[in-house]
Order: sequence, then C-alpha cells, then structure tokens
Amino acid sequence: MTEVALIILAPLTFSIFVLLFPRLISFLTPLACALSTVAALRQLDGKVPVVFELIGPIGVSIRIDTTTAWFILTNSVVFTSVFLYLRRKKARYSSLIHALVLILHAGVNACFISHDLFNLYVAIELATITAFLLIIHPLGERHHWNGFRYLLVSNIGMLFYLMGVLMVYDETGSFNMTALAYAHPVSAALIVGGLMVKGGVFLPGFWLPKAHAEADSPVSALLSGVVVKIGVLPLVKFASLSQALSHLVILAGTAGAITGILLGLFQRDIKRLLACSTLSQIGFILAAPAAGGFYAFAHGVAKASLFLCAGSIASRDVNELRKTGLPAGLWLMMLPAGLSLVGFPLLAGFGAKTQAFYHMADWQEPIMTAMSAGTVLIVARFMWVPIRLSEKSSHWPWEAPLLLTLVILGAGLVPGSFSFSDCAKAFFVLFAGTTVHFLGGWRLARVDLFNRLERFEDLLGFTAVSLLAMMIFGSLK
Amino acid sequence: MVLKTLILATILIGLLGVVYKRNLMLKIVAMDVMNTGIVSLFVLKGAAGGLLSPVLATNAEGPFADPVPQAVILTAIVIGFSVLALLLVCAMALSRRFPTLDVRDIENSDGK
Repeated sequence: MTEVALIILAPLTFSIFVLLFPRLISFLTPLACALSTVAALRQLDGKVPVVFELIGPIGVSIRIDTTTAWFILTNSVVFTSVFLYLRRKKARYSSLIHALVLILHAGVNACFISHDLFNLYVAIELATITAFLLIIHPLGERHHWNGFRYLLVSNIGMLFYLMGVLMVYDETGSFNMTALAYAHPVSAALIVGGLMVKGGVFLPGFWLPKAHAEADSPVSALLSGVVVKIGVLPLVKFASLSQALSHLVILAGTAGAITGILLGLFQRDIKRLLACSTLSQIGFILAAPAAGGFYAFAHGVAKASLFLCAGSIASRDVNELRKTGLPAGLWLMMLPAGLSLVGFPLLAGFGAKTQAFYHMADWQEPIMTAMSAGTVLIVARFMWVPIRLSEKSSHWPWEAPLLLTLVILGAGLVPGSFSFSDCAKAFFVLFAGTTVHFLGGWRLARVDLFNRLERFEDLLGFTAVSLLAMMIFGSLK
Repeated sequence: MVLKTLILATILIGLLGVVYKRNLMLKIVAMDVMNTGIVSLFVLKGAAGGLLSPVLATNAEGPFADPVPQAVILTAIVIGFSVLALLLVCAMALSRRFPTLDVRDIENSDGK
C-alpha cells in the first residue's frame, strides 16, 4: 500500500503544487523520482512480490515483482535525467511542462504496477494523453500532426484492447490478468494486439519511428526510454501465464526485432535511427520475456541518453555528420550509451543481452545474434564519425547524459553470470557489424525504401489489418 | 444475438471509416462510432442476462443485471470523450495552419 502512495499519489500531488508554486520544481520532481527509486530498489532487494487487492476479486489489483521493479527504476532514472535537461533549458520549458512530466511519471508507474486488465487500460490512457500533450507542447504544425497521429493510432489499439477485456470478463468473470490464461484465444489476440500497438511491436508499431523522431528531444527520450514500455511490461507478464501466450509474445518480439533493424538500415536521420533501434530493442525484450526486466532498464537508460545527446547535434542527417563530425565532448558522452546498446562487455547492455540469450530458444539464437549485429550497424552510423577536438561545447546540457552514463557504468558492474565465450561473442558481433558498416552498410542510408509505409493512411490501414489478422488467427486456434 | 451482431457491425463500420475516409474530421467521427460500439457492447453484456437492478433487497428474486461492466465502462466513456475532445482541438489547430482537412494534403505540405 505504501508503494502506491509513494510512486503514484506523490507525483500526482506534486504536479499540482508545481503548477501553483513554480519555485518548488527543483525540489519536488527529484523527490518524486527519488521515491520511485526507493520503492524499486526495496523491491529488488526484497524479492517477495507485493500483491494488493482493493475490494475483492473484481476490484483493482496491484502487483510489484522484480521485473516490475526494474521497469519502475527505468522510469525514475530517465525522468530524473530529463528533469535535469529541462532545468538546464529553463527558458524554453514552463512549469506546465514540469507538471505534465510529473503526471506522466505517475501514469507510467500506474501502468507498471496494475495487475488487472481494466485498471491497466485506464492507466495506459492517462499516460497516453499526457504523452500526447507533451508531444504537441511546442505547438508547431509538425508537432500537432505528430500528436494527432500518435493519439488516433494508439486509441484504435486501445479500443481493440477494450473489446478483448470484455470478452475475458464474459468468459471468466474477472478482470485479473491471470484470467487471460483461461480465456478464449480471440480475446487474448485482441488484448495482445492492442498492447502491441501501444508498445511499438512488429507491424502495429510502425507509428513509432515518426512519433519519436519528430518530438522534442527530451520528450523523445521519455517516449523511447519509458513510455513505450507501458505496452511492453503487460506483454512480458502475459508471457509467464501460459504456453500459448508465451509463444505468441516471443514470436511477436522476434519479428519486431527484425522489423526494427530492417527499417533502421534505410534511415539517414539520427533521431529516426534511434527510434527504429527502439522498435528492434522492444523486440529483444519480448523475445526473451524472462530476462525482460533488466533488458528494458538497460535499453531505457541508454536510449534516453542518446536522444538527449542527439538534441544537441547540429545536423540530424547522418551523411552530413560523416563530413562535419561531432564535438569531442558530445561524442564521448554518447560512446558509453552507444556501446551499451550494442552490448559491449562490462556495460549495462552486455549483462542484459547475455541474460536474454540464456533464456532464448534454439531457433531464436542465430536470428537474434544477427539482429545484434544489425544494431551495431545502426549505432556505427552515427558513432564512426570524425571528432572535432578544438570545439568548445560547454553550453550544451551535459548533466543529464552524464547521469545516465554513470548509471550505465554502474549497472554494468552489477555482476551477472557470464562466461568468457559471452565476451568473445559480444566482440565478434561488434566486429562483424562494424565490418559490414565499412564494407558499404552506411551507403544504405541513401536509399529511401520504407518511409512510404509510414504515411498516415497506410499506417492506419495496416494497423487495422494486422489487428484483424490477429483476431482471425486467434479464432482459428 | 441480433443486437450483438449489430453492435459488432457498428464497430467494424467505424474501423472502416477510420481507414477509408480522407477527411480528418470524418476520421475522428468514425473513431467515435467505433468507441460507441464498444461502449454499447459493455452495456449489452451488463444488461443481457437480467431485468432487475442489482440492489440489496429483502425479498427480491429473479434475473439480476450484472453491475460490473457498466460500472467500469463509465471510466472508458469519460476517457473516450476526452480523447475525442483533444483530437478535435488538434484538428482545429491543423486546419488553421493548413487550409484543408485532407490527410494527403496535410502530409504532403508537412514535407517528410
């Protein structure tokens, strides 16, 4: 019970205070994040899941276990760093933005801990609407259009989800997540499909690259680092419920990892590259749901750091970046995050990847190893650039990426079990990816292959088609 | 059963509208049709089995309605309404900047 007060009620209350007394911002936001961190760390230490049910079996049910705790920790770390970024650029961001950020923090936490399907729906919508407001806050026409796309597509996903929830209730008389294991495959397909739209998994997740790339940099960091995971954590939880659900989630995850890399190979915009990599990393989380918690943490922290750094780069075009290069300070700050993303030994991403590969099936391993190499290709595109040593770049907001870098280094030290061959494999993947990059992988950035698919009408079309296809697939089973 | 089929048809028509209509306004309205269909599905589920309202009474026997679906759908109605309002405001802002509501025109003048 205290957890709920700590991580949901506190940020919501703080957000009102922030609006009333803008001076309190620099005190209240870090306090809210600290409270989440404490709750998450206590859970990671304690190991016994916190389960809580409000007014009986059809009421609100809440559950915090180790996986959830990792997601909550991601939430607090990323929000702290974004807060540092927003503080640094005070002139651009009003207290309203800070209040929205706090509400989003609470909404995301609520999604993570809710363990019944309807409560999850409410929490996801709270987070979605707040995220939408953050996307459109600069009030440019691009942002309006982007926000509109985001809200409409995700709302359609959630409508399918609601239909599935009703069917589960119809059959089992309960809204609890565990009831999903006994429900009809169609209802499971509807719910999983709706969450795939929210979480940016496989085809229903095609809205993601544009939404994350066009948003303001700190907002991109929040969206890619944390907000997509509100659709991912429920899927990770479902995977532990039954064999059929587990197969479905793993299949969707593997397909998502492949789609993300394929899409990313043909991108030249650095923020779009990062967003496509999110698409594939989400796939990695779902491809090995048992190791999903730490993977989500490692990915969230690294991706947020990269997005915050990308906000300070002069040109977003990778081909231009190959000529002009990056200032040394900025490059150095991006290095740990980039290496963690590709799974370089002794960084957070390495432990996450190793654990994930331990939990994968035999048929997945070669595919996912190839996709790891694909991630290297994508990261190499903006990391293998000339470095400008002479430039003074002290005015860019370096505090936020620095915090995240320290977390990446720290989390890498948390010893997991890994062997020498895991290290060798990581180096081999890194080497292979870089070789392909230099052999001509970077030229693919000039090809404009898949961007047509992201037009709004096509997007709506195959979101609808893939949701209907999942329904039909479910009814055949 | 007839009612259920009709409601499912409503949802499907809404979905088709979202996909086929090029006008932003009509897309939003179609989405609301879909939303209404799903709300009625919940109401139907709640009322289908019973006639009597499920209140505590001393000697009432008979087919009670299920109070849970309509209790939860209230939240979904409010959420659907607020999403609708936000989308409409967004469409209004877009129509001021681009003198059109056609999706393709907006997308083309939006550049990439």
